[in-house]
Amino acid sequence: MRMAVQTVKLSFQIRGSDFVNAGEASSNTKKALSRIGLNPSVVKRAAIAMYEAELNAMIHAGGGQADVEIFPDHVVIQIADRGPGIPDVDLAMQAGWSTAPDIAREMGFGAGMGLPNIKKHADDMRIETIVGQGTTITIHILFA
Amino acid sequence: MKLEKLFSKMPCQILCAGSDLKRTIRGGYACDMLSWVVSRIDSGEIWLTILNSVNVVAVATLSECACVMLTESVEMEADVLSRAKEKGLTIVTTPLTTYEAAVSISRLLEAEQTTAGRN
Repeated sequence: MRMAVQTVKLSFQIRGSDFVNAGEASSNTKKALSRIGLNPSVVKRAAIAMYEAELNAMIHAGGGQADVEIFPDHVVIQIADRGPGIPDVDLAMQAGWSTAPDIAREMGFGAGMGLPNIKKHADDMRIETIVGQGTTITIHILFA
Repeated sequence: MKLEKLFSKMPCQILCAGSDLKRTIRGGYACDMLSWVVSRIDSGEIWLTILNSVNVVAVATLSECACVMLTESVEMEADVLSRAKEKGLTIVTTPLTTYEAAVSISRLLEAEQTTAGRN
């Protein structure tokens, strides 16, 4: 008989332009991953990748939804928004490219490192985007 | 060098005493762009910055840096400090420029290593 895989699911709403609570979803996910005793470097990679995606949804897309599913050997983090979409993903992936508004830049955002940072810290990253409809970023982090 | 020892040897004021002032510092990172900091600072390093918004607390928490040192006498609003306290973060402010603070920290860490080497 095949055993069902036990997973832990977390879900968070990301509010648009909410700079005060920005990063809370990532912070809570980090706590959940730490509690299960994962290697701190794995937890940090997941938290940083999720933080960048969370901030992108908050700054660029009027908010979105974060869904996290923790499997025995990996975690899948999905951030979905109904924002403007990304017209040129290759350009957006270039370090330094940013369309952040001035208010975000004044707070230290807009370095154009968001997507490159996700790619750097994730074991796998997928971007599904349709201009005018939204973007979904799926991040896989392996535990070993 | 422990955080509290470093603070005693530099012109700085503690705005928020975090959960571990005895934490060992291994170096520093100076930058005012959050994505660079969150990706590059190592846990155990001091973050030198002039940024003082609540996002500094989020980045410092995620990156597990040893403390945030605000340079150029930058202050932090009470509600941001309150958030830092919730997270157990240490925040200090110094009148030094970012460059001066970095040099000062570097010299103090180097001096301690030299002393430890002699003992």
